[in-house]
Amino acid sequence: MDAEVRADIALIERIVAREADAVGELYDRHNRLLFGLILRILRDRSESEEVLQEVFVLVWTRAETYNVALGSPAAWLVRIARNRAIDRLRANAVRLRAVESAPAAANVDNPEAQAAASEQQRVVARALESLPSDQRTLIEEAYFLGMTQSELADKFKLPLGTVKTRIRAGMQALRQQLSGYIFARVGAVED
Amino acid sequence: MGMDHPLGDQAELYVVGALTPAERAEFEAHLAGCAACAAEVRALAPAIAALAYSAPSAGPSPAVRDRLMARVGGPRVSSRRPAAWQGSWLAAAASIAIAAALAGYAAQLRGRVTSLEAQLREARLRADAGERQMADARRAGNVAQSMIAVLTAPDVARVDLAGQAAAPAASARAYWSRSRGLVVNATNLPPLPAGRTYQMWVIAAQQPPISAGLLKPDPNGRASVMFETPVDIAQPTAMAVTIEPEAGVPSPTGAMYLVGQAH
Repeated sequence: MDAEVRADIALIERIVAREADAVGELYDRHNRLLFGLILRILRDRSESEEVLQEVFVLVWTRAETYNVALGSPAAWLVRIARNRAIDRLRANAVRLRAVESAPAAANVDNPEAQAAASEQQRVVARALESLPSDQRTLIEEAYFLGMTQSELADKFKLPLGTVKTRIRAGMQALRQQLSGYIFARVGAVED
Repeated sequence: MGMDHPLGDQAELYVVGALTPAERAEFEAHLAGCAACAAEVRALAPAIAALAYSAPSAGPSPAVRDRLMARVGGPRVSSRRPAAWQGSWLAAAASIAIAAALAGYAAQLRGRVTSLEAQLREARLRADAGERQMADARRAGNVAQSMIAVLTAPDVARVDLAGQAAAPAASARAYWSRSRGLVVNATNLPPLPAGRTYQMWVIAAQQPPISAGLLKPDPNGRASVMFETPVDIAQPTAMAVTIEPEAGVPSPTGAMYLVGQAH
């Protein structure tokens, strides 16, 4: 078991035991990743901050619903953050406002922070770029815009079966490319 | 995966969020009981990590943490320098992407939860027992106080009861106060057979005996009981103890064990 995952699980256990400090520690460990993701979806700083807070309030009230069989705490946090952001996006009916472009420079990290993350971000970007564009577009529209498979079929005038097949193929390709890379770089993950 | 596993091809659509809320709920219900699909969801974690990390990293304003901690009631000061995150980017990425080893840990965690639940149950039982002891002590204290009140009442009358043929060695002393009640101390009462009890009677002139209540001796044959008696009761002329069916009876039916005359 990876030490970072262990540390996160220990924090979740403390949250279940009603230790408020543990929410703060979990926040300190993951707020930047989650905020970047939420901001990518919502494109609005103050709204994204509200959603980020909602995510951790939800963690505080529902920590016992975390299921280790479905993935690490960080994966759980990412799932909650993405789903809350998409819910907000749909509620606002501002989906059209969200476009493919990156958020304004003022919203993202300073150059040093960008540089620190750049190597890994390049790897991730390369993996995404390596996908056939028809797969990549469907995956990104589903994940960042919250479009369901039938909405995607309508939008791109594709049979539903084709949407499913392309998303599945793209996700499996990403999984294969990245699992090797990330696991090799951080060492063994067996327990 | 075909007809026998109709939801088996949903994992990718689920993790990428392409299912409708109804489809998502259906798949989550399925996941709860399908280890193969849960493993598939875990295995797709690197793909989701890639999507999450493809968003430019950005920091929220410090006010978010303050508001959060105000909501959950913890301290507001950050325990970590923000810079720490940068160094652990890869570790954090791995912590999302991690797939192996979690299933085994799940079992371990479940075991831990079970043991914590058992401890909690035990603690609850102990707390209950403690509360019961407190209540017993409080009741005993109240009885003792009432007994003292009877014994020190200005109108207290003493009645000595003598053992009868069924229990020649038994004896009892009763103190009666109209306003404060009746206290009875009995000794050498024979052990009760199953389904039987001793019952205390107060007898006033020209009236049928009035039940004061039930009397259960301890294993040494002793009983010390406080009875509330009605204040409008006539001055007793005698008291008696009989053996009766366990629930007690409205008027005496069994053998007399103790009898005493008031003076």
